[in-house]
Amino acid sequence: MKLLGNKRLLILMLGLICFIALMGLTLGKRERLTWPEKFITDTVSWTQGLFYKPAGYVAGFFEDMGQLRTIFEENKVLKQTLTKYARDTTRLNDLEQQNKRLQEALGFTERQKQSNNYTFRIAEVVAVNPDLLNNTVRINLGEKDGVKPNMAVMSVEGLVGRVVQVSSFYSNVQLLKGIDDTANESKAIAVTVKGRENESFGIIESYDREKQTLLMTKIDPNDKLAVGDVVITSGLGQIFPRGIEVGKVISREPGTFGISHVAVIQPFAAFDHLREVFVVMVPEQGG
Amino acid sequence: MIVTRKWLWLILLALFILEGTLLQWIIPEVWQSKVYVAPHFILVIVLYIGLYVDRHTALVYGLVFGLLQDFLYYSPMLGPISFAMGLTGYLAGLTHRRLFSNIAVSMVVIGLGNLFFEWILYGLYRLFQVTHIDLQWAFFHQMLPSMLINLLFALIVYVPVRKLFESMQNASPASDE
Repeated sequence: MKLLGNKRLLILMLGLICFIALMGLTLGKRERLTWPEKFITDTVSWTQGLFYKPAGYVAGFFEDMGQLRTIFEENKVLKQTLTKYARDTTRLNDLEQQNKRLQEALGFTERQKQSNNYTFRIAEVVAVNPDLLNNTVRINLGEKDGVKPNMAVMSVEGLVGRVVQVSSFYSNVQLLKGIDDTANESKAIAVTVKGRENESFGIIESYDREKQTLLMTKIDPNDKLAVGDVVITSGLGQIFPRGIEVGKVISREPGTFGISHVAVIQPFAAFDHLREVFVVMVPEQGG
Repeated sequence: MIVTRKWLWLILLALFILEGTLLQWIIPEVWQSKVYVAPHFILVIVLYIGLYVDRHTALVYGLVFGLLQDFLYYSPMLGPISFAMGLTGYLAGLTHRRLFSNIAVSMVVIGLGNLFFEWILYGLYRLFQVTHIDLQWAFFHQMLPSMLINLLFALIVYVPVRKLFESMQNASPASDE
């Protein structure tokens, strides 16, 4: 039985070549979309938003029912945190004023003063990418809201990912679990340790799918980083903001070549069933 | 005939929207962290079209909905899903009237089609260095579980889909020859 005739085989080959060419041409240039893409994307995303949110609420309701027993203890912990929060706020006000006064005294320019003034925009997740090799979600903030590629995205718990693609009203966020040091399109994150920001340094490059942990590399062997330390973004690249919590150090050991150390990090944020996230906007560094 | 065709587009569009939204909540969290399950329900319907209508229709539906998915969700390039889905649909269409069309054969074709689809995607991503996951790991943690879930979906919709396509063919007995 002849399954594929000559003509058909030719067409198949032509199709293959065309598609490979298309993929090669569009590879890596998809941060900003062309207008037909934008149009289709925004329309379908709007419809998806209608479904994702109610589905989340229904699923959340059942989850809440299951957690009814633990809610009493949770409430107690929350009350404790609240009093701590009130105490911290007064301290923060005090420190902020002191900081302002010192900045004046040292003659900071207006741009330098504004550089730590981050804005947090809340966004709702409208859809999750069903393709397993690309761990992305869609959120309902886009170019018109001032979102740009490479902005940091966090949840209440910690860093979640980075904006990889924007259309007019929606954008795609690559989750931290999609980070991969061997991939062309992935970007590493510079991190440091909370409390010792100027002493520790490392780079988060990849995610271990089996253990669900992040791998932090390029740590100096003399670095004081220890198990249990909280890892935060360092803001050294000027793209990611400073001080977003990423995770906790589980273990630390010498790397493959013995020159630098690597640490395993347990991320704080959960990457499944996301509902609301924050996009962190860093003030423009132009001029 | 026209009416059923229109219905088919609508059904596929609805499935497409559900794939990224509702299903992500129905699938338990363990299946998204220990093993990874991806619903490819569009692909299942495209395979059914290939099996019961003809291969060219399957090719067109596969290409169009694949392209829609390429547009909508982030991937570093345009086209891989469109290509993979179109080709899989076309190949499934080659079995049309060559094999007995009973439920077991359909399930085997759909299962193999699913694996084939994931394999093409994986191959393309490896080729363009988008991913670097070990093939064996990807096979046991992503492709196999996904295939089983999609097969389950295929079983559930077998009867209604069969009826839909039979009504399509009854409406136009001449055009299919």
